[in-house]
Amino acid sequence: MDALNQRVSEAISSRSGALAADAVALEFLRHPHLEKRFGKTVPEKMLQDTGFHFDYLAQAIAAGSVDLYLDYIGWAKVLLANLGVPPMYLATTLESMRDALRAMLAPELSDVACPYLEETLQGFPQMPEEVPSFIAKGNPLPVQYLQALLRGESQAANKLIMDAIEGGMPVQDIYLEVFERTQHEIGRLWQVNEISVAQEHYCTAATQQIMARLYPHIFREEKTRGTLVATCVSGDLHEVGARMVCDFFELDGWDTHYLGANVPAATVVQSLVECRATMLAISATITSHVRAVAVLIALVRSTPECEGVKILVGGYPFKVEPELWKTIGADGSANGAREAIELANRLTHVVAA
Amino acid sequence: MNNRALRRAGEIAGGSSGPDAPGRSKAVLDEHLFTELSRTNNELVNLQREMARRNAQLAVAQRQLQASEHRYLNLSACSPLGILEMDAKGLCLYSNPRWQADTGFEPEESLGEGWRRALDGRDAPAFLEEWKAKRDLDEEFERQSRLATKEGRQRWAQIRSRCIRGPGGVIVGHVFTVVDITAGKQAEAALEKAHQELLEVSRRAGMAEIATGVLHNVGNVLNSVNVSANVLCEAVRTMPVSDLDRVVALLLAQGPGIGTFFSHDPRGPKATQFLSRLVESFTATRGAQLEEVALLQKNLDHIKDIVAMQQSYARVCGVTETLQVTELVEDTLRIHAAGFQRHAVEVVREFAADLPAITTERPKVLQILVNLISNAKAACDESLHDQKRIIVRAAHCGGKVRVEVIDNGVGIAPQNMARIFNHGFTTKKDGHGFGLHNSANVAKELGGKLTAQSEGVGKGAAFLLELPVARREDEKRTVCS
Repeated sequence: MDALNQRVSEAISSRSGALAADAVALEFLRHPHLEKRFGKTVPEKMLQDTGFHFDYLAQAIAAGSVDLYLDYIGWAKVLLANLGVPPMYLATTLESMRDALRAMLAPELSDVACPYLEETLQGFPQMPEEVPSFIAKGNPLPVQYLQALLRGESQAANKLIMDAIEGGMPVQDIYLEVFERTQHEIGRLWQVNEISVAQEHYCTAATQQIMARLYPHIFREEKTRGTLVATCVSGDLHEVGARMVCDFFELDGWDTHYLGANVPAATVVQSLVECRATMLAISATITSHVRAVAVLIALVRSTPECEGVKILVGGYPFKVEPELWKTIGADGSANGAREAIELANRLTHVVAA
Repeated sequence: MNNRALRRAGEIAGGSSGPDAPGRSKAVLDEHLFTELSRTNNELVNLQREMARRNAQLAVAQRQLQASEHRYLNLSACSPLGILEMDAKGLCLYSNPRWQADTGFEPEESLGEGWRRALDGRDAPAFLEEWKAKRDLDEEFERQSRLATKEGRQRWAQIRSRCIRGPGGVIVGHVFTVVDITAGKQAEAALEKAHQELLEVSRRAGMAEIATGVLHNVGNVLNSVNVSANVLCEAVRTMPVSDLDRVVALLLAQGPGIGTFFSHDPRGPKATQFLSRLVESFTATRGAQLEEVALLQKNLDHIKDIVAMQQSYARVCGVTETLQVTELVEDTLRIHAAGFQRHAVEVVREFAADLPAITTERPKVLQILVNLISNAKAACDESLHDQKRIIVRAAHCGGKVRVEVIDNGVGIAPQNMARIFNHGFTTKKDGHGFGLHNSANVAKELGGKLTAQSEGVGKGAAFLLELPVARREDEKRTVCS
């Protein structure tokens, strides 16, 4: 990872509070009606949210990826639009952030950071305000499944899945066509303010329980491939994706060991040694965890017992920035479970089933 | 899968859009509760996943165990060996079908100590004692034993036992394998019987060969006896007995006037002269006849000696004695002496001066030597050599005495060298193929060996008999007649 980018990233992270305060102050100057509405006291939430904008900027700079920031702002734009907030506010916030950075950081640092904001501002008008559904209209099962979940009928959702399995639908297809799509769709629905946090959490939890009921169909194959250890460096609320990947490996004949989220790097290494793993899969859901992934990879590489272990990375930042895996020393990244298996088998010279 | 980003963005959206933004307040309100619920759910699902993984491993292990058990049962059922599984105390836990078939025991009949009833009563005590000793020493056990089947048939079995170890190397049981070797034993006994019969035939053949030599020699001597008898007979037949009868009759006819007959009758002086000449004649032939009688007695003694020697060789075997091998060589040459003379075979003796005595069975060595000398003589006879010669050499080398019988006869073809000691192999028109085969066997039996050398047809042959000087410790001393 680029050293200058790291310095800029750290400079922004360490000053995100002060930068947010300056940027919000500039926003109040740009939009006088805000003072009329809130008075002289700047809303805490506004400060906090602007602080998030700086944090994501720091992460994108650390990863050297403008695309990451573009993706984040594009997503925020849709969210705001569906909450009834005109996109103009977000655009001016970005301008205020740029001005605050120029004022607070040394020129050699702000010269690195500001182009990220400039490029984002430049692309901002083209960013869509709507996100299309992840579920194709011609595919009834994910539609019915999602509807059952949104009605709070997890048993009905479960029955749909079990019936599909009995009808001969492969588990892999259930995962990819139903679970993955509905998870994305639930996120989209929450993003566009059509469902609540409660519904989103309920749907995710129900899906996970239904996945658990499929385990007898997953954990039954003879192990003919290698041994996979999988972990998620993000918070444990984001495990479902990593676990799905792990289950796919299990179905493909790998012996899999899912360690869960937020596992200390030393414990991951210990597991690799104990399991005689040939593959390590690391999921990072948000950009700020890319650094933690890099640290974990460095530790694995420096452990002699782990010589020969191949490392796959996946998750949101690696999806947005396809070349990011190279900068942190991984052996590859995959966008989705099927791609991960193909890559893993290729890396371990195993012909995919 | 950007839930956290979603939530953060949700906060951002709410924060930026103010308290009136739809959905914001509820989302923030429920955040902590749902986060905790989600975390708990995740942990639960992770546990379920791990449980499923381990169940799958267990299922695989069970399948492997079932496959292993199936394989074990198949192997056990199809095994050509009888198999018994014992506990540490030697109580049978399992017997396989082959054991049941070999013994006729039902499965439950072999359990516990039941299997011991299959051991033949003659072998059981020694078997069990040895097995216990081996178990105590933690050694592998192997023994041949007779088994008594449930139907009372006797079987022979090769039985082996090894211990079965449990965790920590503790002996938890024993496994027996039982191989039915009855057929092998029967074949072995039949082979031994045949071998003994063959040895006996060979021995008798060898002895017959000696007897032939002896009779040949006796026959030669009997020729001389016959000549002497004829000479004596002719001498007696040609004696002037009729003239003497007439003179005696004339003299008896004179009666009392016998004196006048001699003084006055002209036949009286003639009769006196006749008697005087008769006495001269008898005196003259008496010496020759006495010489002929002495010769006759000598030949009869010779025959007696030969017969006695034959009897001494023929009657006893299995007794060892210490002797000079040259004695046996001389005896052998004596047996063949007449033949050598008749066929003009020169015999050369090359005996080393320092030959040690050997301890061996005299008749058996003689049997070999007679065979070798006989073969050598026959080989010389067959050849057209002008100077037929047999060299008998005796020497001491490396704890052995070596007797070489070398002839300049017809030799041995190279292709016959390898099978010359085979039973039934002979190149003689009237041979039986016992001689050399038996000789080689006997040499081996005596702790020695018999080998042959020849440079080929027409180049003579050499037979080397090596006999140990020291007596074998395990020599059996048995006497048979």
